Amino acid sequence: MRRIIEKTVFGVSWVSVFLLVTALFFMLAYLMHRGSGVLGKGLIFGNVSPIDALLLKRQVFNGLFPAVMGTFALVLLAVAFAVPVGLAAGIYMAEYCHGWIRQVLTVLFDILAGLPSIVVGLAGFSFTIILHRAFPGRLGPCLLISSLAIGFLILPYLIRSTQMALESVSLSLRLTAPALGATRLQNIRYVLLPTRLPDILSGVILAIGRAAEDTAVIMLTGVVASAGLPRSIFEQFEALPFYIYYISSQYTNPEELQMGFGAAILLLTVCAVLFLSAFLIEQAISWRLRRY
Amino acid sequence: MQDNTKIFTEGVRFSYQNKVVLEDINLSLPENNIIAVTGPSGTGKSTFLSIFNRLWEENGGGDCEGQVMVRFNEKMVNIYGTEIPVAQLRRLIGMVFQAPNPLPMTVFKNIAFPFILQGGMKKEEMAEKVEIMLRRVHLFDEVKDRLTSDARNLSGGQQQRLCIARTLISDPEIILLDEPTSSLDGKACEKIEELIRELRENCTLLLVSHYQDQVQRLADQVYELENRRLRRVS
Amino acid sequence: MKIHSGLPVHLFRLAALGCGFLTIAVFMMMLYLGWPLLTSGQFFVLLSQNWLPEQNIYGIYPMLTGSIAIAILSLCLSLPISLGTAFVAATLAPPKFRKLVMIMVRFMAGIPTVIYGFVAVFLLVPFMREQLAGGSGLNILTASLVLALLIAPTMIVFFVNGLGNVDKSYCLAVDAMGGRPIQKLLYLQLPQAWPTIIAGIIMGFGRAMGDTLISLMLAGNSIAVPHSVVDSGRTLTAHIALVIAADFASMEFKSIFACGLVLYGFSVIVVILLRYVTTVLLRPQS
Repeated sequence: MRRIIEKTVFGVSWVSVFLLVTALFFMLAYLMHRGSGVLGKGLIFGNVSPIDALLLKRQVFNGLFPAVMGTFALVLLAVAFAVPVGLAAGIYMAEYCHGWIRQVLTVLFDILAGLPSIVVGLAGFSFTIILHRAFPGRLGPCLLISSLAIGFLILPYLIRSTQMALESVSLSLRLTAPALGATRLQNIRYVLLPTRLPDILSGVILAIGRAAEDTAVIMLTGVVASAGLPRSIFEQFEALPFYIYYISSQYTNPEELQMGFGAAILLLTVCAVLFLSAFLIEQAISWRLRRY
Repeated sequence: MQDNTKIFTEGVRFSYQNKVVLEDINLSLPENNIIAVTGPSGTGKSTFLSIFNRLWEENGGGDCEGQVMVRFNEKMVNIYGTEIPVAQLRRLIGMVFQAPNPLPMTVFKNIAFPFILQGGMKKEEMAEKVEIMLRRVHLFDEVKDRLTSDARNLSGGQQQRLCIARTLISDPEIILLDEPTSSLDGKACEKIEELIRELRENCTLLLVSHYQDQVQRLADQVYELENRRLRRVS
Repeated sequence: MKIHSGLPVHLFRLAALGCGFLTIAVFMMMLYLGWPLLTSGQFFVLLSQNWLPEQNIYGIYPMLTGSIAIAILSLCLSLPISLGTAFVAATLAPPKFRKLVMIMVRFMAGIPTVIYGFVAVFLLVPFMREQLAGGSGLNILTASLVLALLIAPTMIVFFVNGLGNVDKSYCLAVDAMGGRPIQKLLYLQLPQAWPTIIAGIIMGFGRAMGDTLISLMLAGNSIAVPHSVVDSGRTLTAHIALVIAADFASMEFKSIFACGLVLYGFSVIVVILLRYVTTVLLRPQS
């Protein structure tokens, strides 16, 4: 009987891996099969020359350029908001926070990390409504609100990766600088952060990936299907993931669908590159740990 | 209390998470001596050392009562009082740990680290002092070409001498040594012991060790830690 | 302990407390904006009512069922595959291959959700329509299948961590007795790691409940209470995304805040459960 169970579990396990690999393979192969035809500079820039588009001399109407730039601006702003706050909060949690405040904050950050992104989007949207009521003006859903909301979404990842990186510093290394007369702040500045910089960096990169791929948040806070290039942070904008979502249900002709596949490959490539760099940094860390 | 008393404690009691680890510690230790503390492992020898540079405060959960006085500039100073800031205290009372703990930076920066913390010193002056310290721990010839390479590439014995140099650079008056040779092989161990003997000229040394032979070779006074109390052995 | 002072420390504290405050503020904002609905219809009645706008009833019961149905179904589909893959990645495969499997799993976790949905719309939906379920092909089963794929990496990472955390000396003991990997897995690692497995399942369920795009793109979004897995359904998350475009002042619009509050409450429950599992259940072992 035991033998049979063992054999079954063994078989089922390997079948599972096979299924997962097959699913992944089919997905990627299908994307490539359908989308490879449109890959090229025309996908992003349409029939405008890349130089002209980048210098904003001519507008791109039949390329992904506005969506690419929208996502780029969104991620840049969100990271600019979230990284300083996330690192600071992570440092505080790891080095300064004790007692019941620590307990409460840990639970709150866990909740924040588990919030569905649509709820974060809804929060951003609620914020806009409340702002609108307080200051009846022209501030509606826009790039600024979206990037704030996305920043909020990636905060818990940044806090957690910073906190875990600092807490994983060994006790002996942690005590070295204080024994030489370093203050706690100097210890963080000269020893703890530099030692763990790669971990923190890979946390930031993964957070960037989250910021670039999220669709639900921006859907509620200011992304639209066609807005052109983002001219200011108070205007609506386009973004790659939303474009992909939009095309999947609203495409009107085969060319648009083709663009959708192109956009999907593009977004996948961006995320793959981010994944790869985070992965390489981690490999470098473990390689270094083996060495010492 | 005699004139040459360097360290004086009265009724010191240390507890960790409400559990008493050390109690009734009354000491009067003369300067320029090597004072050894022995005892089975896990009885709180390292904790005993950390009382003198207040390093236990970095971990939380500990509590120290009683009086701990150290003579600085011909004056007994309560090290838990306001007279002396912790950072300055830790430069005057250096510590060498069980396992060599070079910081993840170059050999040069490691030794100059206390200066970097204090700030305001010129690079040339730093270089000069670093060289003096390296010579003092007999490490200069071995590492003079590798000052800019990562300190963690040195051998264990070299690392430990580097750590001693790093402690010495702030001119400490007392050095706490927490099993400084236990992670080293025989040859490296000998060099460290020789160095410790030389240091007695200028410093008072508190040495925690569980090697009886080492204690015999080095110590002027020997205490044993037993049942949370210190007992003078010789 | 001495008090830490200095401007940087104040900034660190401000950042941490600010983040904590914002987490609570999110709840408060939704409560504030959804208040009229809560006071007029009472929150819990709302959860059990159907969506009948013409009768002025804006119950979110159908979305609640939709969310739970999709989450449970996707969990059931994903669990065996995730467990199996975790077994292979933790023990059964040779070390090199294990690493390869984990790289693949983590890469899958990094693939944008919208891409899973996009491919499914053009690959799985036609198949569903023509071969299996008929209709539009947009139904709870379609969404659950893709969601199962989406939550698998989360669970696998948890499972592998749990299985890998079993004391190495025990593993060596079993190896020394001539136990095969599958035996080590079934009789040593699995009994030791079950709290982490439970934690992984809760985590996976949480992700499934919280996902928006897959159900929005693939479940059909019909407002009726679903009766079978090939019925179209709408989740709480998709409901928020769909209604957001409506008129600001309408009661219909306010129902999205009820959905938001339910989802928020659900995340809190997940966190509490996870804490319980990881602290209370794991403690006696170590």
